[in-house]
Amino acid sequence: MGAAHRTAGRMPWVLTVPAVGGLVFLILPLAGLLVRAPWSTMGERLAEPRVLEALRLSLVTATLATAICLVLGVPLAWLLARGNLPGRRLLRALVTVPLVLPPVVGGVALLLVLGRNGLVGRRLHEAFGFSLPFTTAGVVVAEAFVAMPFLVISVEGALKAADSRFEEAAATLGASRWRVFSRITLPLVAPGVSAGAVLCWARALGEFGATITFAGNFPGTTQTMPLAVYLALETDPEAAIVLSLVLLAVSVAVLAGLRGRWVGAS
Amino acid sequence: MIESRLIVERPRFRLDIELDVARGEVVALLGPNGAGKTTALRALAGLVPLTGGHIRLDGEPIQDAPAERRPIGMVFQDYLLFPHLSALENVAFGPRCHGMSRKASRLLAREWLNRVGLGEHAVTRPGELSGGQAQRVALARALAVRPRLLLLDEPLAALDAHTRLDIRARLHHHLGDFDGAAVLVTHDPLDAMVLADRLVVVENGAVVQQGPPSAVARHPRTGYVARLVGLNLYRGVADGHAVRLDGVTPGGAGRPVSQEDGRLGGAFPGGAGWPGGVTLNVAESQSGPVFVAFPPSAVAIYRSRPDGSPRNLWEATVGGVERHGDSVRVLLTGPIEAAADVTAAAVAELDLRPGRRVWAALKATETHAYPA
Repeated sequence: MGAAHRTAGRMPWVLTVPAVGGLVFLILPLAGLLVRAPWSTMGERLAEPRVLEALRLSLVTATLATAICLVLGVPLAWLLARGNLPGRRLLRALVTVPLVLPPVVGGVALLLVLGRNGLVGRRLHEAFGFSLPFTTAGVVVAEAFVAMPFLVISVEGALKAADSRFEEAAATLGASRWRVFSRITLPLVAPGVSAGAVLCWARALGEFGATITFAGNFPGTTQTMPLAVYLALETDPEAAIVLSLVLLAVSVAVLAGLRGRWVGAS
Repeated sequence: MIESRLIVERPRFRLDIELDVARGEVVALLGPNGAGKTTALRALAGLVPLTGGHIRLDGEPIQDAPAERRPIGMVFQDYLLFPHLSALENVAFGPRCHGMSRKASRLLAREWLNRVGLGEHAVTRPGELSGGQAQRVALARALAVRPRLLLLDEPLAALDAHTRLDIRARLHHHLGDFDGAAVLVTHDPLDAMVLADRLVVVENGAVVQQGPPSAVARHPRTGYVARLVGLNLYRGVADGHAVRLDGVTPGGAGRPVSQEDGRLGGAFPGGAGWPGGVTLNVAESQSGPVFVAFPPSAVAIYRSRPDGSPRNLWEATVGGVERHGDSVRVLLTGPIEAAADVTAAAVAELDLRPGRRVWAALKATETHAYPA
């Protein structure tokens, strides 16, 4: 203990000063949000239908996007971690592209492929008379596109860290490949999947660029919380603060709720 | 019942062994680290593809079947119990995979846990089991699928000395009850001798010796085996009771067991007093190329040339002294390299330190020769 204190006390200022600076930089804006919040009118502002509408839409689309990411992303992560395919490194690089791609660019790309005149979108429209852009489904697609890499990378990391000899043991007991995956592999990487799903959900909840480009900004159908915040900032800054606070509270609540059980364990 | 020729080629390693195991027989694959024992076991299990050869189970080829289609059960070195399942669920996993209902598989699993004496640990997670308990659950899990071939990879290696004794006895009991073929991989000669009906010694990817444990222990054919069973071993040419040792010794008890085999042995330094090479008098009358083996306890050490003339007597130099159980093992160099076991009192009395010149006498009655 004593030694630890002494070592901590001797931390060089070249590290301490920027560290404190970084901490302030991260916390101050959040504190500003709290300080400037119109606390006196908070109750009635929260009850406004457009706030509730945007919140409901955000929660529903982020959850649906996460579900899609899980269904498609976990098998993809498995393929990258365990699959014996050529060009795996290239595949992995391609998967991570949406991670670094500016979301607006992602939105434009989605529009070009899935838009009414897009490569796939036109066929879709001709066949079903249905078009994704500027619909709630479009919001889900945009969010899933941007958030999926978070899940894939997290799950792939967990799969690589997991001992694949457990899978061998299961095989010697007569388990089919699917049974090995569902009964052994998946439970073993559950913490990684949960952590990835939380990251994925948080990313989807905050999605702005791809959503506004691909799905537009229609209250009730495509106007999620981030979009509402941005719109409100131009007309009613206090409303923007309230919306931001709600988003912040929801994010922190989810993170705190899952931390003890899943995220902390990984 | 199992007939196999296992060929696995890797860069800088080649395994090529024939392994047949009868129903009810327990075969131990014994060998130094890196000899290819575990690779052979994994090839039988279907976890390593064969690059050549075949595996036939009751005449039916299974070398192309994936692991999950082979009628096997395997106990892994560190057991690999599924950490998210209870002991009962671990044992029930196999029967479930073979199409048994949830209820029936749990009943069967409970029966197996009772059989290995762990009935009260059914709901325990593997993380809370002791090493010995985990080993027993792993054995129950492997046996619960009613395998025709049971594979055990170093099943006792992860246990401490005390637990090992108990688990070895239990394993012996369960192997006795098992009616299929069993293959056990180990580098521990005692485990192999106690558990197996037949030893197959593998070195550098090839079988160098096989037979019943007692025969292997009495008549080692390589330096590795000789060291395992604690015998001095030499090659020579016999003419009646006299064996003229040729220039190469495969090594034996005089060298530490940990030393890798293959390169062992070297030319004798031409001994003074043994003009024309070293000749030993042995118990059995033989002729032609033979191995000569004797235990370190058959060698007596004297400071000066003993009276009366023992048949086998030579002058040697003490190369090293180390504790060996209750006695002291003295490594002798000179015309032949040999290990001798003496009491601690004798070490003090004879002042045996490295470099001291001594006389070594060997009883012919304890020196055995057998055809090479």
